[in-house]
Amino acid sequence: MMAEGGHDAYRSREYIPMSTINPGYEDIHGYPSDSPPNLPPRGAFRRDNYPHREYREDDLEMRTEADLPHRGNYGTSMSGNGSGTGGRNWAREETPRDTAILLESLPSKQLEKLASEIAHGNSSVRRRSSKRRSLRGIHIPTGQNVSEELIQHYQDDPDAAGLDDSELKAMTLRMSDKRRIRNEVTLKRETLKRQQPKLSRWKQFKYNLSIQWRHFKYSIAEVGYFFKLWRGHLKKIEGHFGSGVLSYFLFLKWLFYINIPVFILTFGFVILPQILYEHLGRGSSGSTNTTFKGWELLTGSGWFEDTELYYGHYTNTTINLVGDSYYNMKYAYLFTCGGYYLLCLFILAFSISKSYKKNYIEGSGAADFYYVSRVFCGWDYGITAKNSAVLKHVGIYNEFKEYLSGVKKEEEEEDLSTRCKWFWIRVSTNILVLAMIGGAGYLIYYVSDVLLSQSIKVDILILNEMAMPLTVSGVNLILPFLFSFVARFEAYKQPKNQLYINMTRTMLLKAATLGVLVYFWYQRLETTVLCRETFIGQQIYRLVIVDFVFILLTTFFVEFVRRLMKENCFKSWGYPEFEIGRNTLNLIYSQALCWLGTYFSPMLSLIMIIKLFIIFYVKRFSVVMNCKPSLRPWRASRAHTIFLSFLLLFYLLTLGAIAYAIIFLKPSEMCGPFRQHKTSYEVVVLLIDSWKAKYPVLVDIISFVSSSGFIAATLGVLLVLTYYMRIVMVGHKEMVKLLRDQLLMEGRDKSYLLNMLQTAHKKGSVGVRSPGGHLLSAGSEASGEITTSPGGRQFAKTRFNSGNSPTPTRQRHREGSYGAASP
Amino acid sequence: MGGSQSVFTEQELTDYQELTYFTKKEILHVFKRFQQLNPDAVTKDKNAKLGKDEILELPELKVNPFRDRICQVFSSSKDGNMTFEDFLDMMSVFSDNAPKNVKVEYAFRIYDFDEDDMISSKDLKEVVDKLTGEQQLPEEDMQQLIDNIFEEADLDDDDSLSFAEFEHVISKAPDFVNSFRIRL
Repeated sequence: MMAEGGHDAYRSREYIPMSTINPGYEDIHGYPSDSPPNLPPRGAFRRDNYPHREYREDDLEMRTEADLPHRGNYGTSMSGNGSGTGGRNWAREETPRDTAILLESLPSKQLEKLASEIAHGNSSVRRRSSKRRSLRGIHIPTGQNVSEELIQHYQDDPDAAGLDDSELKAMTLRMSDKRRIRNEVTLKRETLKRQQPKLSRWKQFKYNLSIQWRHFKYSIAEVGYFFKLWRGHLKKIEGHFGSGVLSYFLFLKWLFYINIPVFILTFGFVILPQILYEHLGRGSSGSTNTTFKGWELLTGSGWFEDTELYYGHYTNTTINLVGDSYYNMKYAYLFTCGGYYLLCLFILAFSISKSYKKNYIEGSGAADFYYVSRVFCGWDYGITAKNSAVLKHVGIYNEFKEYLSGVKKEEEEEDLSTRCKWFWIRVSTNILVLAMIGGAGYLIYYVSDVLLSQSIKVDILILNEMAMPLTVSGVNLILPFLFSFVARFEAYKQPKNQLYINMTRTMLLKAATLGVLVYFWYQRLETTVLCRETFIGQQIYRLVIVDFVFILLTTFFVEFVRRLMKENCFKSWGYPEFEIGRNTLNLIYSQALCWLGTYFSPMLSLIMIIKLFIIFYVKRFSVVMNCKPSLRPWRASRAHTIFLSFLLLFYLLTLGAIAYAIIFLKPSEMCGPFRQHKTSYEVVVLLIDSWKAKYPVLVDIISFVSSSGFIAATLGVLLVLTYYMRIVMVGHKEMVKLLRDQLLMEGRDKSYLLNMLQTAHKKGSVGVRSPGGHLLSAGSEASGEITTSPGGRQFAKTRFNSGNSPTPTRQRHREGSYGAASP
Repeated sequence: MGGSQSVFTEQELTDYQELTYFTKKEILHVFKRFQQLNPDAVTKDKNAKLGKDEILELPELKVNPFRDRICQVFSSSKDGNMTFEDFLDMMSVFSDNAPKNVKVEYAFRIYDFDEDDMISSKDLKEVVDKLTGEQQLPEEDMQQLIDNIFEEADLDDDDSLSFAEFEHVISKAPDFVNSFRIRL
């Protein structure tokens, strides 16, 4: 209610510039909006300066200048942002305080008030639902002391179910506040519990169960603390190099962890029974009368040939060690193989879906939020070293400069001839790359063939056996450099694309080499080698060892030697940088080798574990001693998804190769658990056949499930589901776009209407009542005027009593507002 | 860690475990780091309040361009000085286990330099200046950058980012959780 005195008081300060409504406002030239000198300073609108904020009619004397709506955000409603000023045009004008008060009474503001009052436990608001309203997601504005209200909120809760554990942790308050809230709520709950009759049995049971579960989770977390392998090392790397290089080491650690259960499975079910069988049982192994010479560690033949390292050593009998129990080695071998492949599949699928969801689905709009993510996620909080921080600053500065200059440059419109030219260049480089890969494949095939048929015999020590792995590793080392050299001619606009193209080509090369080898082994070895699987196992073992040696050597030369040379001879060179992409791809290749080889050589996973362990330490010390952090940022999360998908691809390829071997290849006659079978898979078929007598139902089920009709139907259903999800996603994307536009339009609508109100005010011809029934502007009587909006609608101003009605009425509806008359 | 076991009672540790995202062992580890900042004061009184310059000796904070804001936001007395509980709070928010929405909330507070619950262009200018370190972007580029940011994130066109707009944008950025993390 406007008393006369009050009216005069504010008359003198009639125009309130924008900055009082929007304390953060600055107009386009960067000057704070010029405010009358007697405005309250910025920050005076903090809520804890004022005792209450409800809209109460009888208190209007309190509504001084400073009592204008605080521009904070109470609830989750986005449309209530600020005082709804739309755009810079509006903001530059001055708004009378009446308009400001009217703004306060907008329905969207009322919604905000409602949300904030609920969050702060104001009992004047009737709760809509009896379910306890979760506080998660409600933003607690800066500088607010809301603990009192929160306590009130929880205490008033009729449910008295107490604080949810995660809700307590997620409260963004000081710890002392949180503790106080929790204690008070628990206290209240205790008193309530005493007053109420005893909880029903079921509720008590559920309650106890949840407490037990919580304790269980805590103890699991405590145990998990011990398994933080290499934590100190990872922290040091992160401190110096940031999260990009760290992602390589995390990937290595993850692969390490995957190989451990694989090894445990094979050891427990395959290797251990074989060892026990040999030493304790009645069987006898083949004679190992070859002595152990040192270089067998490299070739895996000789002394190693007839040991548990290879498939050929395993017996095909049914072991009988203890009493009546039988252990059929064939089933054990085959099903363990299937078991660990399934395990790896689950782990991979789970990881990749989690990563994809995090980085692509939730971040799908992030392609648009380019600058925001550069600014707000630009700094890596894990960096601890001073010079790394300096480099990071420089990197960020360069990045900004680069992208801003890119924005300024005009997008060159490429005409047809340039585009044609680039198209043909790219086609020819791709053909060149494919030709190089083909050449490499043929070379490997030739070398293997020559070695097998022994048409060329080299007498240097072990070169005979090692020639093939050396060729493969050499090819894998040299060709990627050639690829990146070739890619320079293609001149991709974004360096990101060039990186991805290079990585794809490298992986294609590695897959091709492996594919050629597998083809060679499966096709050509039938007649020449006695025990084919052992031979393949040896080859893979050699590949793994040579790969390991090459990784050590490249680390040595590329990082250590280069740093020495830079410091002592070639001062103009740059320090070496850790190449995340190349190294991660090497890890993926090693893992693929391991997966391919474990069927033929069960102990290969142990070798892989040892290899990864050593590589970790070598790389860690090398990177900290020799490398400098890179200036270019590395988008770790997107890259992680891509690396995981490469890993999955290689996994599927190796799975295909092994499945082919099991199902179609004839096992060697003289060795291994599957000798004298037509195929290894025959074991399973025989097993199912043997069940025909005992469990016919089971056999029927199995034959139904594995029939082609069922499989096709399942595939069809899955495809339909995938298609449906995709359609839904596309629909959502469109919806988001529409809603964004709508939001923008609403803001503009509001500013337009307020503009109109403004002009009407200026004319001074209307008294407008606020919802509380107060007259907002004193002035002369209203006259009936009709204005026409640009859209053609006519607005009629209605008439009221002028100015100084002393008693506020308790009307809640908007009196005397503009009514729109349709034309 | 064995030595600091006796500093806290079991009840206190359970308390902290419930109120933060840490396990008991991690809490003790955090206490050890806190103690290293000023061993005399903390050994005498575990709830000692350490001054801002002592807190900033922590290696993770020392090189962070937003260290002043971080201390300001997490300090319970709002003057930059922190007790162990404030420190624990801070480490809990920056830890791996803290969910994204908690991190987003605190990130908003950290980047809101003038504490008016909106990230205005002045706030953004400060953020970018702190990010680029010694070299500062020229005025024109800065304005262009701020305009681009508002174009991307400011939905209702009012020249500043409210919390809802900030959250909407940041929770989509996949690198946010990776970068807004301090491991202890």
